[in-house]
Amino acid sequence: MSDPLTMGNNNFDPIPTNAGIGLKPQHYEEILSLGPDASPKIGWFEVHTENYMGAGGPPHYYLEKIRQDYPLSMHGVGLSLGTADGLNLDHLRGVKNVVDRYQPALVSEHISWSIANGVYLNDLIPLPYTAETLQITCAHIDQIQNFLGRQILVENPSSYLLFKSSNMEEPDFINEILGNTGCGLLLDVNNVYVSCQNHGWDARDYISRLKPETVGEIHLAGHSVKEWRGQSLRIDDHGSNVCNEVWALYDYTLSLMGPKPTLIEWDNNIPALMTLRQEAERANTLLNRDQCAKNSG
Amino acid sequence: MAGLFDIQDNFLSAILESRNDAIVDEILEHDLSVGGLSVQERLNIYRNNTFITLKRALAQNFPVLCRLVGQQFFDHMAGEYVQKHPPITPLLMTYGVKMPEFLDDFDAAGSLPYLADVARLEHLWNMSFNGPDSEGFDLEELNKVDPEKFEDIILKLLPNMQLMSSIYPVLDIWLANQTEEGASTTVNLERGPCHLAIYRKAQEVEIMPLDPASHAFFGLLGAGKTLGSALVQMTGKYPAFNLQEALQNIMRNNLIAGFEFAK
Repeated sequence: MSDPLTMGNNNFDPIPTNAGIGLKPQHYEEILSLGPDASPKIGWFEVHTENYMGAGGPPHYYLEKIRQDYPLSMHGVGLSLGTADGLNLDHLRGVKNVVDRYQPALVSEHISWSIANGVYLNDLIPLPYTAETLQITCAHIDQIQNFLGRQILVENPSSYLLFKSSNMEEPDFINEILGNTGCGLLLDVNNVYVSCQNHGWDARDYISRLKPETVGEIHLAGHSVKEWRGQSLRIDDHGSNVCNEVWALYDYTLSLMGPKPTLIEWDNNIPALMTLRQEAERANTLLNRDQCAKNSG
Repeated sequence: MAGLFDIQDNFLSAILESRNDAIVDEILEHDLSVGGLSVQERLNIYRNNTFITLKRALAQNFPVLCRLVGQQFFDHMAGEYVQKHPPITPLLMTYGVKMPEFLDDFDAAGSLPYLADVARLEHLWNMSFNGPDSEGFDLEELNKVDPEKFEDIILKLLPNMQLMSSIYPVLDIWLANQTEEGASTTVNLERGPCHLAIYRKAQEVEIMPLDPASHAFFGLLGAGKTLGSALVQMTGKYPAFNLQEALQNIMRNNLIAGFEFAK
């Protein structure tokens, strides 16, 4: 197995070990007028790959400009790594075009599926954790990494249901994928919290079973709580501030893994840019503390 | 236990057609003390999420259609659209290509016969917004052409240009419904047919009303006809067509992306 963090051409403007934010069209103009030195500083941006796969127009106009000033990560939602009937090769070619164009430091996708019979459900649906699924998912990751000529990161899912046929626990399934393919992990701490709450798992145990050296990026996001007949379920909707429980779990994660590039994700009810910068500052405070500890220790 | 292919196939049926029978057997019944939701309720979360996000994508791609019919009706209509024409690519920026024909067959929209053409305009607007950029063209290049070779020129209009015609005044309807406040403005449907070019030069999409002859001429250029052969076809159908005026109009509006000569 090749070393997951050195494989591929990740030398172009690497993502710094600080907090970045998800890039939204509502904020394009403000980001350009602030410039890269405005305080609190934005360390880097992440975009949804699919939003920049049109031929031209304003999305590319703005991303070209912003890319000149900031490191970039591209986060895909459409490759459907766990689809049983094969990857959509047109889509993979489109991803390669946009990755070649913008040379992002990180390229990531999800451990889930969203395409069946050629229909795209626009949701990240969980997989049964079986030997069959593991083989299919790993083959697709190999195919993608070979086609793109670089390493990708894969994100742990959030989920609201489990399959009876699963005979591996989620952290073990993830470790198998990382070991088999040499891809890295995009550790979504909010997803760990949401899934653990929904399924009665232990979030700290989940995180402690992951290998720090495989983690290339962390995601933080807000979620909501829905009540059904007095019972609650956590919904991963990326529409609010990161909650205190997730901040605490992030703090625990950093204590195990050391500082990692961390993204504030906020995709619905998008707030003012300043709110995102403040969330990023909160992550930076924890990252800097760990960085100091690492340097002095 | 079903294999992965069958699980995903059955999950798809549950989401799009509410046919849960085959998939429920595959999903773990949770201990009611943890979460306490039934398998059906858990599936509903995925169904709702799929429909909400895809309906939202349609509302983003068809904002004027949404204003014309009202949020509630649009929601219902978009739900039926998602069921009938779920996306077949993860690129949702142009999701809804079949909206015009869907509306033609959608009985509940029958009282507003122009909806399909408004949807067509909005889809073309989107195609132009996300379409290829043009490099910019120096008109001097055309002046250098030997007049003898003029009729062999194949003129390339902006690569993101879209053309449409409607028997309804859809541009007026579209313009009157750019904001919620405007949505109450009445448009005189007697104003009749319109012909439109939809294009983007820098970052702004523009819509230009055309007379029928210009619309036909733009269409011939878009199909790759030489100026000579376009002129022959135009004069047959539109005796009053004036090539020089048409070209001046195109140049004045900077609609040219380039040109080449017929081989």
